[in-house]
Amino acid sequence: MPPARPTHDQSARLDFFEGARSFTYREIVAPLLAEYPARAAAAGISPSTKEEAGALYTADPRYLFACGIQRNAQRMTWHTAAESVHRDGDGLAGELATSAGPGLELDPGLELPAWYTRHTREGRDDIHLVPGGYWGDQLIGAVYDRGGAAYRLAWRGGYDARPGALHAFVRYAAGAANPARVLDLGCSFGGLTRVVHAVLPDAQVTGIDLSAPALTYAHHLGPDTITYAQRDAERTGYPDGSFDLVTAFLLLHEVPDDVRASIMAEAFRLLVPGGLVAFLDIPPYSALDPARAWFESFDGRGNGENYWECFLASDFPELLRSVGFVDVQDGALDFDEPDYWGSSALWREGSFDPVHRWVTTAVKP
Amino acid sequence: MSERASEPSILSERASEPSTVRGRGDVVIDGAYRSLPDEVSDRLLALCTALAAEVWTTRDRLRLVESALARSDVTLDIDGVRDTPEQLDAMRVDRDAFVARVLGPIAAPAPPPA
Repeated sequence: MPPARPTHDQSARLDFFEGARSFTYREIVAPLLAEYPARAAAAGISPSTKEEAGALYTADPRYLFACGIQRNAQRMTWHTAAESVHRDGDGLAGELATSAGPGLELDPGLELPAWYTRHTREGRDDIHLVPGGYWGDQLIGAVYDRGGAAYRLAWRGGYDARPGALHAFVRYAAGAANPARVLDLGCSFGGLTRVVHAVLPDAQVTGIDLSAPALTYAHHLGPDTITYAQRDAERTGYPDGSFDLVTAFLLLHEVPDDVRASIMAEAFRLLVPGGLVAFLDIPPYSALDPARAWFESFDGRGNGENYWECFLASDFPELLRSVGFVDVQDGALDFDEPDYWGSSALWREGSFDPVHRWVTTAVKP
Repeated sequence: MSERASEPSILSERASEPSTVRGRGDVVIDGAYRSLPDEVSDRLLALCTALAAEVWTTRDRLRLVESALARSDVTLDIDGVRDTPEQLDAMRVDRDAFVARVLGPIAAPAPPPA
């Protein structure tokens, strides 16, 4: 069964938050970014860093309000999504409890790493401001399903309503190799994993994540030919050379630097020679002009993205090379979707830009 | 331009100028006058004023609807009602106009120096 349908008031709130955020992007963020050359000229500077560009904005009431609206709408959207999912929480929880079986491998003994639980335990902003983080709510998969769609400004359509870009990403990653065994790291409730299965129906597809509730919901959504396993991507326990393709969608910016390095080393070990890693994530600051990089950096300050800054400021291709990968390539996904506004919380200008979907691939020699 | 364009702005001393924000809002931040000590607070006041007007308008409309339904002995499970696609499209138009009226005061370009 799907999550309970929101009440009228919950639906109206989600509609309002989508409208408020759309307005903020179109009427505040886009004009502020368009003013960047004039602002720099008026200040007599030519910013070379996002901080220098940010200084042109941080005292502007319009910028401050855009940040405030984004943060408040984000918080209230997630709370409304959670409230609506829990409206018939017992019913959905009961369904999830009976969905265990082939294709779902939970590990009750798995110790969740401190970096993963710290923010909730210390009362800091949870990741993306989602109450309870990825692990503290037994219905978090359904909450992400609904709240994630709202984040995409399309909650009524649902999270999986427009999978075209993910299809394009998987087709690009798979290329002509037709990988037989695919591992999706940090799969959460299976947003990319389901697409991998759809694009590569003959492949053996496995999604792993730390969150048992998210995996349980992913398995509940099906199909049951996908295997969802509760494993730590730093140390999966799979034998060397178990996979032909390793993917991750919006995982890299969710982990600390040392964990990201460990995950890459583990991915290298898990691949067969000639195997490929492919990631779809947020573009690095180096791909953006200083003003856009500043607006993109809001997520690290105001959206609970505790590892955003360290990832976007890093040289990820160099990390891949350092663990042994070759033929490292990165760039914007070539997929046109005019009504897609991007993945960063504040850096959205009301128009499509391919750079919002940043792909990195590398080969194990 | 709405019929409200001729109404004086609560924040502007230049009431003869169009009282719109990008052609949609009812309240503008377009002059040197400040109701409150700083621009941020001034914009917040404008936002709250616009929001209060919207909330009251909705409450009054709801009151009338409920009153009419009661007279007709009609009860309604509002959570069970589903919009048609056409109704959803109309809702989004109304929603965007609402948002523009409420948030218009904070989206207006900064006023020129006094």
